[in-house]
Amino acid sequence: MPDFLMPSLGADMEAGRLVEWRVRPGDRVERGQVVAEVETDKGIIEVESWQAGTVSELLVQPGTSVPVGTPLARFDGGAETIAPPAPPPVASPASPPVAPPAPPPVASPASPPVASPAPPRASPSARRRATELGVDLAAVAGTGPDGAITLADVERGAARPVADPSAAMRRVVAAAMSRSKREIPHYYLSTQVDVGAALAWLDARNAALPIEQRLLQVVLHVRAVALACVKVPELNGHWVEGEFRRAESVHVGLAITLRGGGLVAPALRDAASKPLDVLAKETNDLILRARTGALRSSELTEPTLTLTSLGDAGVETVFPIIHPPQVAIVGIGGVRSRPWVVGASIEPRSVLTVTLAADHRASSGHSGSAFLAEVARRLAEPPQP
Amino acid sequence: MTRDEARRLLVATIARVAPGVDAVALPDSADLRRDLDLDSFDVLRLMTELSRAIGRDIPDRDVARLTSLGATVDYVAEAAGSAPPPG
Repeated sequence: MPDFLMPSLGADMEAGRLVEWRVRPGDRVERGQVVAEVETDKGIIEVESWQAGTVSELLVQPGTSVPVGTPLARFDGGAETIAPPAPPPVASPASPPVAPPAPPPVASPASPPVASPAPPRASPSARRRATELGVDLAAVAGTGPDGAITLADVERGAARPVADPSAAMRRVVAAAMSRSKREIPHYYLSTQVDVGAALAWLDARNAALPIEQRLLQVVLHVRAVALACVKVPELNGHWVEGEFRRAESVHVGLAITLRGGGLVAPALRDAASKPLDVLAKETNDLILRARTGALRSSELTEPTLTLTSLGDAGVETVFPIIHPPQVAIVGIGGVRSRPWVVGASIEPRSVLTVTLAADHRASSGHSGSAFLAEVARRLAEPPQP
Repeated sequence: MTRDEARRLLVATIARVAPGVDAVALPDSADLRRDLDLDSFDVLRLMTELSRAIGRDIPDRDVARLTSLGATVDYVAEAAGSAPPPG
């Protein structure tokens, strides 16, 4: 069975730092199981194994930074290596190769594989805080149960001010957005939508539910965009090697701002086919994990288009930037009371502005308009099947 | 629950929900959404944790009108005081 390699978790990623192993030699691993935590510019990502097998050796110690494509662990069955499915590569000659390169043969002078020592026992929040503060857990005295390191222990251990941890992420976002604007011929379409009926439905529903089951407006936005992708699939997919590749599924990337100025847009999978309450639960969970640094590698590479819902920020119109290699992004602004023509009179209505930015190599104003019209139609009504 | 206890609980909950936001020194008039930069997800999470802490649900209409730090402290102090005893 092939070696497990440091995956590429985004078009810009060149290296990652192994934070912690979640498996030991001898463990049986299922496909999709989280096997390690890797730190990238986007924060700590839980990396899943893309195949099943039994771990025979861990090749890289926690705390080590290695280039994308480096073998991290050996599984039973030998050292043959096949690259895991890479994310769709960005169509740009200047970007580094996304597919991991073939590793050196086993007999090469690699460092002798050692079973990694058990990492210091620490609560998940302690671990994340330690990474945020740049504190080495091995140097922290744990006062928790059985000497485990607690959040307070880490805060005490941070003796000196450390470099801004989110500066790296801002650089990555800046690079990606710059390249997007340079290389993708964006066109923009926008429309205003009277969402009063949908909001009334939402308020009535939330009033009758305990707080844990209430819906945020953004869930309705996700659903509207997902269903529009089903109707107009020309906006759902990737621009790869000079052509548009339509995606088979609809995975809506939700743009989530992080404290400290970072931005991630992980995927809400199969957003078009999930019942609303399931979608709501997954959206809340995704936002929480994005902000606590617990996203999974598949969530970063799977979006088929992105939604940026900035109503909370108080903006009226969003002019979003496409996340390559996607070909479209939807921006939704805040709801405002606006004069609206109803029949022969003018009434105040709850109105928001939805904007589509799309790649003109992959779609034209015609399909873009059809897509936006469907988003608008869905936003205006309470959710229909 | 006294107002001071309620304020400490609220500040601690805000710190957990929005790491880096230190509400200790902020005045009662501080707006949760504008001044503490909490978005709708943060507010939902904050209210969910507060409802657990006080032992009862916070209705949606209350969530909407709790815009300031002070109003939320008052609400928590009163709600926690009137919750039925555990057991």
